[in-house]
Amino acid sequence: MRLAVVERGHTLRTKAAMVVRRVLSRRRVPDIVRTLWYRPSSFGKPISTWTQAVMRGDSDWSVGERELFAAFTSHLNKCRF
Amino acid sequence: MDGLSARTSGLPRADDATGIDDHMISDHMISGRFAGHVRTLLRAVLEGEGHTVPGLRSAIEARAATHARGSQQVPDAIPVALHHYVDTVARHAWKVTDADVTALKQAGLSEDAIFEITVCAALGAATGRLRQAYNAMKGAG
Repeated sequence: MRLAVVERGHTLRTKAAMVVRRVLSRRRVPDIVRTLWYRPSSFGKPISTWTQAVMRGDSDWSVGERELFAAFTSHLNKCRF
Repeated sequence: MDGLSARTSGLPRADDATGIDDHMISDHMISGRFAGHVRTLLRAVLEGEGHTVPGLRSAIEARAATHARGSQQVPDAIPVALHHYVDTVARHAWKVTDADVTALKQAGLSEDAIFEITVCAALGAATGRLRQAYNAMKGAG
């Protein structure tokens, strides 16, 4: 079940951005993006900033290695993302 | 459902107006270079504007974090009606069913409240596991 507010409860500005993204990618905007863009100040923005720092910031691990860790973790969580 | 709405304020706040307490963050998370990000996220999720009271959000995060650490002593400071959903999200989110969400709606929760409860439970699961990982590294070091 998808919550209707997360599916289509975004602000008009965000909805416009989602239309552009859908047109350019020719795909439905992914659920992860819909979630991060819903009420971004209380969840999406801060977690995206943290994720960016962890996954793309300075590290002893390469970006590829970090992505592998993330993929393995998602696998354990039975998540395809 | 009583005690959930930001308007009815049925539960006490888990922390005072000064913000996130350090007990919610392990030593390494405080001193590590990502500590600022952790604090910012916790504040936004647990203390930002919402459809549920901040005290409830903190209690959900704490319960989920305890689950993630594998403890049998799980805090029960949240309404019983939320136990199943919060515990399922924290331990194995992929087992959440439509019926679980429908039950929350039938209990009177709005979709925004369910969204917040879900985020708090997921965040608790994440911080609990992160704390476990830091503790494991500390033990190995």
